[in-house]
Amino acid sequence: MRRWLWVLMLVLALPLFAAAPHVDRWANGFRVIVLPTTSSQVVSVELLIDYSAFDEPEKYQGIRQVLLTSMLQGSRSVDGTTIRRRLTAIGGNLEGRVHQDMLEFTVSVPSSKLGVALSALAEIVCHPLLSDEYIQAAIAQSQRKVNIPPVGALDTAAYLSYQLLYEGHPFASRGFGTPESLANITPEVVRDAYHAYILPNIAVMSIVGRCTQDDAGAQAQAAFGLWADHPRAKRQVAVNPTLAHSTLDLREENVKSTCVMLTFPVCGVTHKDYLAVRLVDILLGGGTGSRLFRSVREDLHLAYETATDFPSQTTCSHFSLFALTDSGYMDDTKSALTSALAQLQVTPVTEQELQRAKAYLKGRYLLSHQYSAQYAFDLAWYELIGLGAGYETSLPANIDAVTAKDIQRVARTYFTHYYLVVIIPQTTGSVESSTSSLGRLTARVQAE
Amino acid sequence: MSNLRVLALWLSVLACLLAGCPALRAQDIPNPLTASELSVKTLPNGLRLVIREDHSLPLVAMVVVVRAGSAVEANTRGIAHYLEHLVFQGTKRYPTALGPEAALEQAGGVSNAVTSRDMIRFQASAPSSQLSLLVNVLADVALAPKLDERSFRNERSTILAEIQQDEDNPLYTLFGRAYDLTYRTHPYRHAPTGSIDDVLGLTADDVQAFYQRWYVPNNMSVVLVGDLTQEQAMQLMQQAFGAAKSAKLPDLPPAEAPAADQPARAHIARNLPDTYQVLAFPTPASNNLPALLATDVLMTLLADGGDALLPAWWARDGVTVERFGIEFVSSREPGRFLLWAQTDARMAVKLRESTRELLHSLATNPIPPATLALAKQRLAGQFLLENETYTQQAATLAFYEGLGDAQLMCRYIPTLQSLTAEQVQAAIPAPLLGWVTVGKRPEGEE
Repeated sequence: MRRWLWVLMLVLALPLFAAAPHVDRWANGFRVIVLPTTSSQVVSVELLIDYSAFDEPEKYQGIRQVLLTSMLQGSRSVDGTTIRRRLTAIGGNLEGRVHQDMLEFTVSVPSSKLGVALSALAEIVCHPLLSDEYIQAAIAQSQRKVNIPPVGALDTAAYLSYQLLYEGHPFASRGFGTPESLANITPEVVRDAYHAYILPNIAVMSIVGRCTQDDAGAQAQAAFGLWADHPRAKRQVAVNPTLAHSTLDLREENVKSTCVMLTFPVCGVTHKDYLAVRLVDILLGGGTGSRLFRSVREDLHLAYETATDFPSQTTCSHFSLFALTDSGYMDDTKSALTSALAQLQVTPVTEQELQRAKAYLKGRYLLSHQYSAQYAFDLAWYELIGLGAGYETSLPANIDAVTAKDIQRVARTYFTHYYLVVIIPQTTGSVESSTSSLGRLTARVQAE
Repeated sequence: MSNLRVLALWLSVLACLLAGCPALRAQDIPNPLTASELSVKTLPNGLRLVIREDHSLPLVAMVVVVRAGSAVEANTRGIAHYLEHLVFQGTKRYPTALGPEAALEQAGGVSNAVTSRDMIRFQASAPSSQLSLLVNVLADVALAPKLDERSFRNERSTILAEIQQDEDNPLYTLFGRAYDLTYRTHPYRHAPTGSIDDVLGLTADDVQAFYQRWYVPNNMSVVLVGDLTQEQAMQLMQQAFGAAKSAKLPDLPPAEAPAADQPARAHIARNLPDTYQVLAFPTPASNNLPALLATDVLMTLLADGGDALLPAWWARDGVTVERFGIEFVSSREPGRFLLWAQTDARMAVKLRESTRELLHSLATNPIPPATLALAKQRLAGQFLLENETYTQQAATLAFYEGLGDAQLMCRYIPTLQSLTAEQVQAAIPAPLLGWVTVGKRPEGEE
């Protein structure tokens, strides 16, 4: 009896990760994942297409954003306003996002409206009108976005760090393109891109929420069954960003706080070091038990906000440590950030601290899957990038397999040379003397 | 054509467009929770306990809500928010600085705290295997914080930096000034964080006194949602909160009627490329749920979706708007409906005039049934989607509990569906209490 209870308790204790989703591959190459859940009355659909920044020729950078915006304007039979109205009438929303690695279409609706969501998505993805008018409007929209400057010390520092690190790389234009590349884009080029890249054989759709496998599968088939496949165009190869030495960029901007940010080029999600780097991210910036929070904020009182940023990108990424501080503390803050990294390189992390980081990471992942849209995204993304939708099932074990030695190794491998970007508030001219230990001012804003 | 005719025509066209929309005919969006799913109990010391049991996910979310936001601060402004920071700086069971949060993080959980004008909410979510830890941590935070002089001193710079960072955001400045300008004496006029001067004037004794006065079980509620049983929850609650002693609560500040005079105005010069502007109107108190939801419907009609009235009306008047939105949070006492927009300085005055004209036109034109139905359906769907997770459900239940009754959440969609066009029209915000601009001074305005 007791043994039986043990087994029952173990089964009940299995986390969400245990439910391995089924991937259905259709004749046209489209992969569809359905994962029924019952925790809410919501269902979400994520459709990811493997059309990345690497697929954008330099002269047409930003074309993916233009294409996506144009697609959302409407299909050959229904305009985008009507499609959106159908969804918003039920509280749902259809969004498109350009990631460096792919295009994303996402829609969440009350679960009884899955059919409305799928047909809206199919109209946009399989039958977009892509009229000259829509495309010109999309180009104009991108042109406006390219010209919007970042606001605040943190955003400005992040923007500048990104620009420095990815200079010359396909990621450099953040998906929006440049004024020059946008000027080259024509409706014909956008329509060609649609035919070359919006294909079922390089797309994955994931449906998560209150639904049944059979019903959701049938509704997906009704909406996307006729989507025709073609061979995909060849992708350009780019060298991942690296740094041979550290560089400072110190700027005066129209901000109130000072931001000190260190940025390093690191690996992407498919690399074997990814989870170790992700755990470095947690050790340094994950929550109130993290090293930066404890040292920079609590012990040294140098900053209210200090954290890390490590976007999940497939082949390469960047890792930033930052703190918002007072301009008088910028030297100390920079030293505190670099010494946090140096400690990881020199002294192995204790088992207790590593366990905290692992529990934190696994807990966050589990909690994020309360959201059907996030769960659907993760499943589709893992499948799209070749890890497989079942990757999330093995994720806890993979996290647990990272050792203190792995942490030390990746700290030494990736966290050597950096861009140091410091954004300080406008002053009356005393900046250079007060920041001499960091270096010279790179740029100063003009007072109004 | 007169403005009234233009609006009537526009609303009718919208209604015709929507009549063909298949989804609109559906009335089957359920409330995220029904009253029968909730269990509400009160401990002998007055602590209210709201439980939703659901075993779909191996997670649990908990919120402790204390009805002691910035509105009860009297002369110690910023103290409610200061206390929100301090309680995490060590408790009896978790004595180290940030020990409570660290304990949760170590178990894979997350925590958060929010101070508003009416309440403070301490929130946490974790795998359900950590339920007793979750309860112990949040109970300790609410009932046994250390609140020592050292923590008080250490936390001050963090709070000051937070206020300074907020002030970097023009919208924060805009909303803060709008409240300050449109209340005469009611404490809602002050920002929940307090100003830098307010915070510098606080002492550790002030914090202790505030805590003793307001952090009593009969001024608190606990919400638990997720993978737990009611019996488990009751037992843990008794253990963690049962011994706390209730106390008589001070009177709340009386409500304030809006001023009847001319709209107040203010400009804050800042080196920004545009003008940020907010128009402030009065809203009803939370004890009038139909009026509150009518205001939500109105907000949807004005600002939500591609067919929102405001951008269409502004476009008709040749007003170009970079960004806009409406800030409206339900509050225990009459609150504020803040309509804001970012425009070129040349457009700011025109925007204000155009907006007032639209509100006047709406008040005098009937809202077509199909238009109203769309707004209600949209809002219902949004409410369902915004309360998808245990964490969201617990936070919403706690919010309504802080305003008086968690069960309001269960009545949201049924009340919404029963609203009439007349009720929505009656909610059109008026009068304009004042406006504030930040950034470039509006052209044509002194």
